[in-house]
Amino acid sequence: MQGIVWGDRILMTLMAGLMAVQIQKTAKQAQFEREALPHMDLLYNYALRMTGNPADADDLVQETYLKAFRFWDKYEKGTNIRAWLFRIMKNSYINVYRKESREPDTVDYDEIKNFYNTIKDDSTDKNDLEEQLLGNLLTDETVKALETLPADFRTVVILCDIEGLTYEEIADFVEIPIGTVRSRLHRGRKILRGKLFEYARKRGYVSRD
Amino acid sequence: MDCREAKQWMSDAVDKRLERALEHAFINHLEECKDCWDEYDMERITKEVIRRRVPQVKAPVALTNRVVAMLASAPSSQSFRSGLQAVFASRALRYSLAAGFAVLLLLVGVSVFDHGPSSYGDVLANTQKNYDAMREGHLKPQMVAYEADRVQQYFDEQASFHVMVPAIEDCAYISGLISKLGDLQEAHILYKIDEETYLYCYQVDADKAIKGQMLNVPDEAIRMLNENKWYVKTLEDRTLMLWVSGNNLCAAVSSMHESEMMKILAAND
Repeated sequence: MQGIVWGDRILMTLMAGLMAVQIQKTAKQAQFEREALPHMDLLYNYALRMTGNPADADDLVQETYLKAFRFWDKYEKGTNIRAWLFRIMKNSYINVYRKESREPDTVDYDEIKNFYNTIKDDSTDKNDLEEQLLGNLLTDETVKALETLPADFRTVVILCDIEGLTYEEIADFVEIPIGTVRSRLHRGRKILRGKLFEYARKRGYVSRD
Repeated sequence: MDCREAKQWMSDAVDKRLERALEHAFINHLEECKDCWDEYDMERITKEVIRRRVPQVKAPVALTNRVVAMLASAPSSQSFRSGLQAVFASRALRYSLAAGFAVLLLLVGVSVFDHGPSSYGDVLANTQKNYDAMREGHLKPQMVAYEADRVQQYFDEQASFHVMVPAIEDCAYISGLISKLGDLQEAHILYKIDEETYLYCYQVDADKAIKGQMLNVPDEAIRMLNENKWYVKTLEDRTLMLWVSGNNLCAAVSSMHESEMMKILAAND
């Protein structure tokens, strides 16, 4: 079976039109594709977690690549291309979403701590505690918690905890000192843990008593 | 280490990047300070939850294809804005286009035609038929690219025999297709050189094709192949070539001049 439905005449017409554009690939494009395209997954992931939806993530990635291609001559060969692409994306993101940045919700850390102590007392070992919490949290909630994190904190958490970058790489990506990476991670995770423990608590973790 | 310092190194500790001496001091402090221990433990769990619960998503193939397509039409200076980009600006349209590009630009569904375009018999007649069918769009390509390398890669990944993709500079596009004639895989490559000019190249595993009597080669062609390796026949609007390269029986048709065709095909042989 051919597996493709070719009956869509509108699509065919558009495609024919596009082919007629007589696109020719230059050496520049070939080089750009070879070097830049392999990093699309990282950029897409970041875009998705920053914008919160696939359509906006698509737009952001697309814009990033077009800009990067336009400024390809300015890219210093041999330097970290992922960091370069990331910075282009981050600037695009800031331009669009700047107005939406807001202060984090206030979190009652005492309450979180009480909850933590409750489940800790219930747990037989530290892995058990983790499982208790993980078992009570769904992907949706975790993603939602992450997405409420202010952009600066969210950025370092995504790069470190999801993408697995080193502090040195993050410092290069975000153009901040390592000390700032450190403190943003600590604070970011602290805000996050507030959300996560809160969700877990609301999901009705029942302590044995 | 005091609490202030412990908090400073907290994230490093969670990420297991403290040097030995510092790690030692950190652990010592944690053993004495329940607050810091709890802080550390909660941060550790938070990281673990994020790591395990937030999936790492791959960029959609449609997005990759769209970006590649846009790069091809992207302005090299900022002043130029192509019509193509304007088309893409509409998101609704884009999704339907993305589907099209998935077909056009990269590997499509990997499927190989069950019913081949050729019929058993004369390889030269088949080749000519395929040339017409591909140009007129009756034979749909499984992939289209701008560089021979990419088409080569496609065949390397998808074909059961080694297909040789001749390189041609400055093509409008190159399309590729794998079909089946019984058990025999056939590779089709169509180069669109300019608005009027195409070069079609057909390849099969020679042994399988001839021994299996799937295809036959006219006696006249066999004689010429034996004599000088190339069979060339010029017809009214096209030139037909047949040759053997490695294990492949190859045929090509084009409206190009014989010498130009030979230059491309022999250079790559």
